[in-house]
Amino acid sequence: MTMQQPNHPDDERLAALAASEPDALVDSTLVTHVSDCARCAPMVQDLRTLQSALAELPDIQPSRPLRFLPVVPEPASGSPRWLGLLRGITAPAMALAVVMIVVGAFGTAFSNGIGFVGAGGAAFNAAGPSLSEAQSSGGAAVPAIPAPGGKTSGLPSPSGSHSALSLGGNPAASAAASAAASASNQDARSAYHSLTNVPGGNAAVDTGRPPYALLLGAGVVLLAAAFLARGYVRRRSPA
Amino acid sequence: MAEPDRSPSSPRVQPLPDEEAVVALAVAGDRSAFARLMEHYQSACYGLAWRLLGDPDQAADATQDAFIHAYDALRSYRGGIFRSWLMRITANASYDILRRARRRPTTALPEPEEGKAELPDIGAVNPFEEAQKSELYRYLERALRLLPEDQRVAVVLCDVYGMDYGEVASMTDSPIGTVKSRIHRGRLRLREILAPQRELFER
Repeated sequence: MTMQQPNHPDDERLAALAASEPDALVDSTLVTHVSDCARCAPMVQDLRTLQSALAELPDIQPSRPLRFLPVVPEPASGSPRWLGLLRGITAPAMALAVVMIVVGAFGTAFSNGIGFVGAGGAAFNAAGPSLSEAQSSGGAAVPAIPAPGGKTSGLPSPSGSHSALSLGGNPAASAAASAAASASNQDARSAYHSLTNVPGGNAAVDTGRPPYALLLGAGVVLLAAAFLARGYVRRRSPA
Repeated sequence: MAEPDRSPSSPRVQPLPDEEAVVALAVAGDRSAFARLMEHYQSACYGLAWRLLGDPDQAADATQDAFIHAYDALRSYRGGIFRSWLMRITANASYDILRRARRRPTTALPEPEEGKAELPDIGAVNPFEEAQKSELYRYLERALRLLPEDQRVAVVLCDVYGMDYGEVASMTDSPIGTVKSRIHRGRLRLREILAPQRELFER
């Protein structure tokens, strides 16, 4: 621990002098003091000896064998570069295919009516509250409303025609439903146009429906291709 | 902690006789020339790493890292003393490990244990002197390990490996004044620690 002694320079100043630092060497007070002081002169000498000894410390053999060169990846012997690329993309392709199949399957199932009440029922009810009343009065379940293109879109038909509705074969209820639907026809049309925002909405519904079946098919094809590619890569790769 | 394997009779590796040519080959991409240089200087690099880190495994890791960095940086090597260039890379690699270790909860360096006294080299000119030197080095190493980390790093880089204050300051991200103070305090502390072995210095 460095300590300021009375009548002696600070120990760090002595260390600076021992290290021959220029600012210490030109400090005549310090130099004069050290040359005459029985405490400071040996200290400076000790520090100089210590520095010399430190500069002589030997090198040390490593505790374990070291590798002198960084590892360089061996060039793929006998397997072309594209094979490596193919190997690299099969796993992501499989994952993508599975996602496509799942999304496509669920989308297809929902758009075929299974999930309409949940997904599209709100829009349906918003467009035609009287229709809901008609349903309850007719006592029949309404499974789904097919869209003009033959698929349900979750939106009421802009034409207001609910002829495709199956109301359980009750003609009276069906008539009541048709009447109620006609009454809400104007609301439904305006709701539909506000949602699609496309003039001539029938065509937009036909072309804009989600291509779930296409996605499903593409996923199946991609999965099959990825499996084939993986098998091929395994056959070509060295064991 | 085990004492490092040290050969007192061959203090520090000297440059290769054909070092310039070997370095030129390595810079040109000759891997065997590079490997020859690293093999030659491995004990120097490892010694620096060990003194900074105080742990043989970490020192070996740091040396290995330094070799990889040196290989990558070889194309930017612009001459000068190869050993100094390599030592700077090793010091940086070691200091990186030290910095990472500081961020994690760490245990203090273990107290130096009593190691077996190294036998003097029988073939040496003066076995007694060799034995005394060996003793002196061992005490110095132990004393270095008793310094606070900041002082140890500064003293090792400056006094053992001859780096100037500016280099130490840039390596440790510290102002030069701080580095000077650490070195001075470190030397004073070493003197205190080694006071009982004063006779070893008087030869």
